Amino acid sequence: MTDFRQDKAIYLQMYEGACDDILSGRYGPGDRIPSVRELSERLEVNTNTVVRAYDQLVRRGIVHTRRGMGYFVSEQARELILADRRREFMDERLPELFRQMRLLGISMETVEEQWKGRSGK
Amino acid sequence: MTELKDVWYWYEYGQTVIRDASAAVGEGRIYGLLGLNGVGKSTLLKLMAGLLFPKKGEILCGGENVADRKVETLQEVVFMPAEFELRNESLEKFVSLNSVFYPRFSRAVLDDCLGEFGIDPQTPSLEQLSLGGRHKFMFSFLLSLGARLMLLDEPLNGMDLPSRGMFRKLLMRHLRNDQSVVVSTHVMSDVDRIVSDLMVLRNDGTLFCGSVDELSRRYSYGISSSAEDALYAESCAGGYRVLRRNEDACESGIPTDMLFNAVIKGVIE
Amino acid sequence: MKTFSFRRMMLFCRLQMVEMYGRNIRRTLRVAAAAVLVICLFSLIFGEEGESVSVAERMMVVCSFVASVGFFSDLVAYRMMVPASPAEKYVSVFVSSLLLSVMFLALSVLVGSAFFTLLSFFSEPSLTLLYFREGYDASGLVGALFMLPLIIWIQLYFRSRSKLRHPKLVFFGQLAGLVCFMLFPTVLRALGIMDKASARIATACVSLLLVLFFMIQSYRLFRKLEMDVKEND
Repeated sequence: MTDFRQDKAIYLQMYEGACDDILSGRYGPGDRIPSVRELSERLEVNTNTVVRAYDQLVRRGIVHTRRGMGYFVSEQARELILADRRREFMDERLPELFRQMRLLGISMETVEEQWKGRSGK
Repeated sequence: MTELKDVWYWYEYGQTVIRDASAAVGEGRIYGLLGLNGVGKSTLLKLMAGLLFPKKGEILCGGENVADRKVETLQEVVFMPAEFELRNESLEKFVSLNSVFYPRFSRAVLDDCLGEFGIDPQTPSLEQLSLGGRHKFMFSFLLSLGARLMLLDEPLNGMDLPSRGMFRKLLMRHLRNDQSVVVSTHVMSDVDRIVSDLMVLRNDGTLFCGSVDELSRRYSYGISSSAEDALYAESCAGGYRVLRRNEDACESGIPTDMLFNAVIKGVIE
Repeated sequence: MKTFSFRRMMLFCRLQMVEMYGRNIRRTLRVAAAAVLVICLFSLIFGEEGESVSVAERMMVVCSFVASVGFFSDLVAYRMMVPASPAEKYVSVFVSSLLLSVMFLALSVLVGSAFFTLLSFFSEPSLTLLYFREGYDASGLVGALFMLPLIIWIQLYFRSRSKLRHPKLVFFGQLAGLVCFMLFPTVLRALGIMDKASARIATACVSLLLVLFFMIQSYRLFRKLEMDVKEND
């Protein structure tokens, strides 16, 4: 199935977008994120798509709701997101990278050199 | 909640336009009505508005048959035709004459929409608005009436790109949870992300109706170098745009035009 | 007719009257006054000596009815989605027509009377008041009252032909029966059974019954009315 490039479903893109915002510090712990309606208007997307994205954020514990007040970033949001992304990197990105390396005949040593050389910057 | 129950419609000369159509238009949902030119989208919308009567079957809105044209039903159904005239009267006059019939009319919503579209509330003559301006005004007016069922036939005709975006924004901003919208369009990118459900009227008159979420779960879309075991495929720059049955639980975003073409070809349902 | 809202009916009346005639009132008045003058001139040219005033009066009445027919076409073309019950819309058309006719006739009293009065200064100065003068026979007006519902009934018949079971038979049958009914008093008078005065009263009664008949029949057709299917897909 490697020869099948897919776009992520929109609600997943929104989920990732919200995670990006939290990681970048745009929304800190305890901050209120836009309401479902606000976001659906801003991005011109159906409200139930936003609801799916937000439901996933809530399920992962990244965001929680306060009755009648909206959605708020959890204290552990940052750690949770980093943990998720690290897992994704290890389970998906790295194997893909290794596959490419084998296909192109690039050795681990070459990669390490690049890593050392570029880390300085 | 609007229901179509086994609806048939034909013209006199034995040409079936709508063939045994059944669908439910749920509250809080936005339906994109797609179909080729001349297939009968306007006819379907007019049937739902109660302007035409089904030859067989019935259409209910809130439990009442729309063909009865009861006051309570008419207050909850608004229809924007693809082509309409506006006469030489002031915007204010038009609004004051027509809004009195709708109990949920909201002046605030109308003002907000007109403001965002850049239409002067004191416009002395509606006739002088451009094609796009007329559509913008009519959409703003209908949105402000707060009707539970909004039927829009090509509402984006003549609207420039920024206005199309504003249309989507205003719809998202003002649509209540108990309102439903059916928007018919040729340009799928106009409604791609705001619709929750797709309705496709095929050439043979049959109606397909499905939720976008459901379709994204059942099918997956991607770009592949081969079209093998694809339900439906189209050539593209990277090889093929491919629609497959969804084997894993991973959802991808499926472009509306792929869904549309697959439905038309009979691949879906 | 479970709930008939008088208020809604009047709002609908206002909607139609303003949309059709109220958008440019000055212009409407000018056109109406011009129509009255044209009719007066016509009646002078084509009416017999001494009869021109009554010819003018009759033509004014016909003219006011013709203008009223527009309300029904407007209803079918533009107002089907307006939230008022079919009964409210339907009655409103008649109310609007009546109001319009009265207004037009009021204008014609002013303008027409002035016209004929001024004209009389050339021969024998006398004040002529349209409709309010000596010897004016108002029963003629009542007699013509059924024309409006009749015209609407005919329009509805043509629009809903496809929906009726034996359209031609029913329609022409009814029409024939009605014509007989209408002529009945005249026939009786011709046969000497009725005198002129009672025949006139009878005609007025027949006319009112016809109004009722046409209104009920056309309402039933109106309920079955569909929009014309236009190809704009």
